[in-house]
Amino acid sequence: MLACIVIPALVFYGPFSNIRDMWVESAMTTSSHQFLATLFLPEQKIKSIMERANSVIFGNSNPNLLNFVNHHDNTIELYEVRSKYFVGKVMLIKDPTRVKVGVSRLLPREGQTVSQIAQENNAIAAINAGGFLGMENGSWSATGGVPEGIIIHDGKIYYSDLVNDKIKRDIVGFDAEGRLIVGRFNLQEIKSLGIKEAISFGPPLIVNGQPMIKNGDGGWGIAPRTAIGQRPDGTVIFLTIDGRALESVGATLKDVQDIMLKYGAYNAANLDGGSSTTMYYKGRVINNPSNPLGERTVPTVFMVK
Amino acid sequence: MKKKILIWFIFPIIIQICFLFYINNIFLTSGKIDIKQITDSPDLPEKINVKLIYNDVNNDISASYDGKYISFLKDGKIFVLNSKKSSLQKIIYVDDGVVEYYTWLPDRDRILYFYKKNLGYEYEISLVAYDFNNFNYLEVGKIYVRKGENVRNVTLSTLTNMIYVNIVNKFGDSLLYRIDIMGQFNQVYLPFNKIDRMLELRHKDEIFIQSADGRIYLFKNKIGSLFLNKGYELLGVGLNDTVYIGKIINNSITKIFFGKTDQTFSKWNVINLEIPVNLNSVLILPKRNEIGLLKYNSEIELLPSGKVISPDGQYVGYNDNYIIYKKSNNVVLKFY
Repeated sequence: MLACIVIPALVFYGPFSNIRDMWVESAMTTSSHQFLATLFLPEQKIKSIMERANSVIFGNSNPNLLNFVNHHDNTIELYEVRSKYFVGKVMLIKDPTRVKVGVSRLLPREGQTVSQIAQENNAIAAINAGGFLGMENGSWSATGGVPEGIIIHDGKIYYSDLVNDKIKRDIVGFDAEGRLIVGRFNLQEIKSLGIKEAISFGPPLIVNGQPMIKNGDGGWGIAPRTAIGQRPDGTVIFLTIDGRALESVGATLKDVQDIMLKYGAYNAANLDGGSSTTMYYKGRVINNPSNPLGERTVPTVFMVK
Repeated sequence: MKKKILIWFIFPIIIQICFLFYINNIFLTSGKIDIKQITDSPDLPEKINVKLIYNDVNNDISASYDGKYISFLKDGKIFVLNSKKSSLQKIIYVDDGVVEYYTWLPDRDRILYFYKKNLGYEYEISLVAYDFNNFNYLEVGKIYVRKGENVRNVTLSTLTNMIYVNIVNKFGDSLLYRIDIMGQFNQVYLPFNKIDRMLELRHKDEIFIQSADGRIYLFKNKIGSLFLNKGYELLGVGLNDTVYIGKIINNSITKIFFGKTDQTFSKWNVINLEIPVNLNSVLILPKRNEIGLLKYNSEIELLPSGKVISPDGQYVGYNDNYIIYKKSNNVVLKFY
């Protein structure tokens, strides 16, 4: 009884600002649990916390700055990353042209699990990729059937909600040479960049070698995370961090950026996270998704063919 | 009096402040990130021998997909043994409740279980997942039932994220629920009263259900239609969604039909059995879509190759990788 009164008072109005800020960011970046912050703090205070934390700079990558020679090395390396509060998996794919976008064959009705999309495309590895709308026909379903932004596969626009040329969307994609392109682009720019494989998500975390989060933790709280990056030598980095478990509560965007920097990423972007976070390799899921049966359905994956 | 105030008021507050201080100043501050290369996981062991540390375990023994753990249900609790150490890993139990049903996921060290609590005026059945890799409990959802209603069969697909649960009342009549990815329990209308067997496909939300009167129905997205009339038995489903159905004559299987739901049954392949066999002796081993014929409750002959899996005790069951045998007070897992 005493704890129920004292702990919220200490967290929200006491000296423990790290806990308070993390709580507010985690709650406010969900669509259905914002009340966990608004119940305890005034709107102005929440706004100032979010502004302070959400200091991600935006930028677009320039593929011409990447000049690697692709040796078509088929090697894939797997690593475990571990900190005080998270456990994750990193996959290094030496040949970037092996990375493609996989799309749920059930779109626009529903998504498929990462495993399903990978198996149906004979992919050796995959991670979840683009985001989707949780509300379908007015009710919360989150089956991955309504993607957000754009999906490009094999140079063809598979799906797009960019109704005109002026609208810009966060893009994470590859051109024909396997160069990772991250940033905010409109349809015209996407075409002129020659993007062959792409989905929409963000924010970009490293652009042309520069980290985008200079202060704060990124403002998205702690959660399971998925991200993609590329080294100057072309090696593609897949990253998943487990969350919502005692062993691994999740990571901030800054944590994801730090891991990508540690692996020498020149460009990197955050992908859809939370319950969607899944890494598949050689026939099975190798991370610990927070969904009870292991995986949730998603509209798109980045896969290694 | 002062001492009591100190113990009941000041001391708990100091503990809470210390806990919050640790979270705020140590746990949540960015620190060292350790990196370790993972070599390709070695192949699963060919044979695992587990000494049962309990004497009165019946043959209802299950194993995790990789054989790391074996388990059994006893007195409403799930006992999980570590196969390598032959030691108790964990007992999953619920205060004021009993575990009615559990199953391992086919591709990870995670158990899914249903437990029941008596609320007085009704009973609450909860579905929970426990993961042995991160020691995490995940509550999926709850449903409320009447006295005498129990969980009888459960099927699941980790690819479609659909769980089907058959809850049977005291008259043996079935209530079928589909639990979707959002943890919502939706009742599925049954055009019959009693469920005998259920087989769920792995890649799409389709489930075959055999009614107690012998008819086989195929449900697609909760809508059921008659697939086969009497005279057939559901046998199993392979990893690639190939479905196996036996032709029954005089209570024995004489032919095995196999095919997929996008083909009409008349176009399915068929294997004629030289000697009719008992329904329970036909095993559909999912990994390579193999048909096994269990002989003398031990040896398994694979069809159509004729290859034989030699026994290592009394046959108990199988999962996606191992045949499970019991040999005196040992459990033997044999990779197939």
